[in-house]
Amino acid sequence: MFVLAVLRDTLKIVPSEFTKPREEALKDEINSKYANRVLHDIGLCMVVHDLLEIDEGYVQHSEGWIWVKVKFRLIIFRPFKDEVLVGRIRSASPEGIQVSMGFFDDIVISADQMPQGSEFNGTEGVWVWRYEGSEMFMDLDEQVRFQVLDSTFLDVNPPRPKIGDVDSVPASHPPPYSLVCTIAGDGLGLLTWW
Amino acid sequence: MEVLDRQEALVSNYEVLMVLQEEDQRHKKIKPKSHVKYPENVSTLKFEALQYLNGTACSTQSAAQIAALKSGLAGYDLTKAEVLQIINLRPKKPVELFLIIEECEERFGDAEIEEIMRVILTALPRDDDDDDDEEGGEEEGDEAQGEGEMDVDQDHS
Repeated sequence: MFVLAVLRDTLKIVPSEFTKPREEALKDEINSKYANRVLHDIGLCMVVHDLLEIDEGYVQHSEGWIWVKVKFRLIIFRPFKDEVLVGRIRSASPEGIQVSMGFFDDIVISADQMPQGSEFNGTEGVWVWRYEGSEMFMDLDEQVRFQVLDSTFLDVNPPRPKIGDVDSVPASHPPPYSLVCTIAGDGLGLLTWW
Repeated sequence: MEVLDRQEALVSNYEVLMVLQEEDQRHKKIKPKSHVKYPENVSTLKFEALQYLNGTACSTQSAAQIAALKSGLAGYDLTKAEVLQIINLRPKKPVELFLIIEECEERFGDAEIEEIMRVILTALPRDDDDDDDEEGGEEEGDEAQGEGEMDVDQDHS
């Protein structure tokens, strides 16, 4: 589920951070820059794991802060193909269900990846799996075990309001990182089934 | 920013939980003194990830337990990813093991699966094991067998 990535970056330590030990100030700076962000083709950044190398740092002319070059390891959420994970059902529609892991929401299980014999129940708004005569409902917020088929990265620009229309709300944009998953198979699906 | 290695190592949920908890402790300590507000993205992620991980098997694990599991499973031909998933998911029933281990039926016999399950249940004990045991065979797992031969290799960082 999680991997470590090695990165190098030049970071800024502002004067208010000078009172902290240098390492802590750097960790805080790395976290605030990377945490909860998706790096293209790498994954969702969690927090810094450890610092590997710290350069001396320098002050530029006319600036009051220090620039420091750091090499560090970052914890990345990047499940591998075929990995089995557990999450909760966030929403359901005729196209499939969306699963959330709390810190990561863009997990899609499309209609063709449902267990055989499942269909969307429009009145209840949930998916139902008919198995050997019994109906099993996939209610929202139920815990579900799923397997990763593929992950997609999308290079998205931040949403912008329309030109000339200051009040327009930017349209929702596609997620930069999403997982395509399946719950068809033995052991997959709601935890209560097995 | 420069990416030197996209994937240097795999880390278990337990290790991530430890890092997050450490961060959390550190912040609780400095927060009252500091006038600098803690960035929202960090606190959101930390809160959500801690909440998720505390709900999974890793919340009751310890480094010694994981080391014991690794040495217990060393005799079986499992890949790193498979062992990692066993640690993260802590299967309770063979059906979960079949899901984690690729081509499980061809690689392992029924007896071996049962032994692997026993290793998991002894090395990573959980309180809720007895709650919904339908599959037999788990009870013998309590004999704490092999406690002496668990060598400590904590190279999983």
